[in-house]
Amino acid sequence: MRSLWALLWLDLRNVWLSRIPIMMVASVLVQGAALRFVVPEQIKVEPTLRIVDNTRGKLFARVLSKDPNLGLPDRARLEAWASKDRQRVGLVFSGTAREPDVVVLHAGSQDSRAVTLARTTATMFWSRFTSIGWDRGHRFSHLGLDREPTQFNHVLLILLLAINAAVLSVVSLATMIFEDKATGAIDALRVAPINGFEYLLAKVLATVMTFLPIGFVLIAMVKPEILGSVKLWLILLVATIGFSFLGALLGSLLRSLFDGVYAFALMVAALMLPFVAFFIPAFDRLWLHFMPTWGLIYGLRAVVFPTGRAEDPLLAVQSMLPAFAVFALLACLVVHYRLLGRSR
Amino acid sequence: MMISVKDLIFRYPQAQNDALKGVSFDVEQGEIFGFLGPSGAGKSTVQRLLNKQLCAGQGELLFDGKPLAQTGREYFESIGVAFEQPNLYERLTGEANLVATAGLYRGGSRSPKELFELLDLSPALDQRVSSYSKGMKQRLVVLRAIQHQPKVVFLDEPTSGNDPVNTERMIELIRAERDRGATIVLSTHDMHVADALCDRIAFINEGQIVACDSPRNLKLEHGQQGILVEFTADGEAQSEVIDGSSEVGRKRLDTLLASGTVETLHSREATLGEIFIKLTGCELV
Repeated sequence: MRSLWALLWLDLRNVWLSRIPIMMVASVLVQGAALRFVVPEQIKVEPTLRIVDNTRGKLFARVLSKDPNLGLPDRARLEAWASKDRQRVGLVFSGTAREPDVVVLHAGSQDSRAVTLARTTATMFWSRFTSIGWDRGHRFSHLGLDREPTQFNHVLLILLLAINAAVLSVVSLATMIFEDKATGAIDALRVAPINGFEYLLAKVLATVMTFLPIGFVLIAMVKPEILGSVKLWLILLVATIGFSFLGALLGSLLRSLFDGVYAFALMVAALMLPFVAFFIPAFDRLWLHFMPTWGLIYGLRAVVFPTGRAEDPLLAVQSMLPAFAVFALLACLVVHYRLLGRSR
Repeated sequence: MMISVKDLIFRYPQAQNDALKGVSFDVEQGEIFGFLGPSGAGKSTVQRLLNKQLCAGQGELLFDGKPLAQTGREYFESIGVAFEQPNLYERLTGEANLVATAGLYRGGSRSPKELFELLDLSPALDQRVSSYSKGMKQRLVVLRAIQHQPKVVFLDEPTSGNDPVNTERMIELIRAERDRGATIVLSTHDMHVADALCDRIAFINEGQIVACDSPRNLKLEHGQQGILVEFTADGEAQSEVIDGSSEVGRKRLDTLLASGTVETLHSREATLGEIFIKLTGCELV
C-alpha cells in the first residue's frame, strides 16, 4: 500500500505537470461550449419527400428536394415511381416534432433491403435517435403523441462523454508508460520494491483522477441536472478504469502510439463501431454488444434519457465488465512479467 | 560474502555471441568493488544481472549466501541502483524525485536537503530536473540510489559528465557509503576513479575477467615501475622513462645525470590503463 501511494503521488504530479490535462481541459471546454451554444437543442424537420433506391444494387437514400433531376415533385408521382420496383421506397415526412408522421411507400407485402434502409432513414431523421438501439427504434409504432422531443445536444453529450472516457483513458495511460520507457524511469522502477499491480493501479488511479474532473466540466456545461446521478459517475468510473487497462496493454506492448499507429487506429476504429450502430440501427449486430463502448454508450443514454426500464443498468454493464476484466487481467500480466521483468 | 558469482554466462536474445563468458568473482561486505573495462566489455551486463534487470543465463549468483533467483521484494529493499543514463522524472523538481522514490522503500530515508548538500546541489533542490546539466542529473541519480541507505549500491559510471571538483565530491560520497557499511559495486571506464575508489578491481574485456585484485597489487604484479627524467638535448626539452631496476637503465640514468642536462626526476608507477592494455591489448575507451 505504501508503494502504491508513492507511485500514485509520483504519477499524479508527473501527469498534472505535463500537457495532457491542459489539452484535455481545453478539448472539453470547446466541446462543452459547442454543445451548449452552437449545437441546436432541436433539429427542425421540414415536411419533405425522400426516396430509397436499390434497383441497381447500389443502396442509397436521397432527399428529393435537393435533386431536381428525379422530377418527383408530389406524392402521387412518388407512389407511381415506388410501385414499379420492390427495391424502390418513397418516404413522405409530415407533421410536427410532437406529432410526427411518416408514410413508407413501397410495393409488395415483404420488406426489401430498401425498406430496411428506409426505416433507418425515417428513424434517424424523424424520431430523433431516441428509439434507436436496444428497443429497435425503427419500429414506427414508437412514433406517437406522447413522445417528448429529444434534445439533440444531449444526444451528442452521450457520444462525447463516451468518446472522451474511452480515448482519453487509453491515450493517457499509454502515454504515461511510453514516457517511463523513453526516459528510462521504468529501469529505476524495475529495481525498486514494487510489483506490477501497484505500478499499474497507481497509473489507473491517476488517469481516473485526471479524467473525472474533466468529465464533470463537460457535463456541467451541457446538462448540469444529471451531475448528482450516482449511476452516471459509476459508469464513467468503470469505463475510465477499464479503458485505462487497455491503454496499459498498448503502452506495454508498443514503443509509442506513432510506432504502433496501425494497431492503435484499428483499435480505435473497432471501439467506434457501436457509435455507428447507435445512429444506424441496421448496423446494430449482436457481436457489437461485446464491445465495451457499446455498454458505455447505452449506459450513458439510460442516465441522460431515463426510460425507467429495468434492463437499462444491465445493458450498461453487460459488455463493459467482461471486456474490462479481460483487459485488466492481460494488463496485469504484461506489466508484471514483461514491463517490470518480474519473471525471476 | 555479500555477492558471489560463479561461471556466469549470458547471451542477449538474438545475439550471435555471449556477452559474458564464464565470469566469476566475490564481493565482501563493506567493499568497493569495481569493474574496469571499455564500452561493450560486459560491465553493465554484470550489473544488470546482479540487480535482476536481466534474467541470468547459466552460472551461480548468490546474494548474502542465498541464490539471487530465490530473493523477492526484500532484495530490492536492500539494493540501490544508479544508472549511467539519468533516468529521472524531468518535469519534477530534484527534491520531488527523491521524495517520490523514498516512498517506495520501507526503511527510513535521508532527507533530500541533506543529500543535496553532500554533492553541492542545494541551489537546485527546487528546480525542475529538466533544467539540470548532465553532471547534475548524474549526481541526483546517485543520491537517489543511496537515499534509502541500502546494503548494496550498484553504480554505473557514477562520475560521468562531472568536472574534477564534483568527481572528487562523488568519490568522497561513495567512500562515506562504504564507511557506513554498504557494499559498493561500480562500473567505470575511468581508471582514475577506479584507482582512487576501489578496494578491488576486476578488469573485464569481451565478457571475461582478465584480472581481479586491489589496484596496488595489480600495479605491483603487472606494472613496470620507472623513473621519469626530463632533460634538454640540442636546446629542446625531452623526457624519458627509465627502468631503474635494470643495469641498462641505471647506466642510462648515470649518463644523463653526468651530462648536466637533467631538469626533473620523478618516480613513476604504471597506470591501471597501461596495465589494462598490457593484459588485454585494448584501450579503456
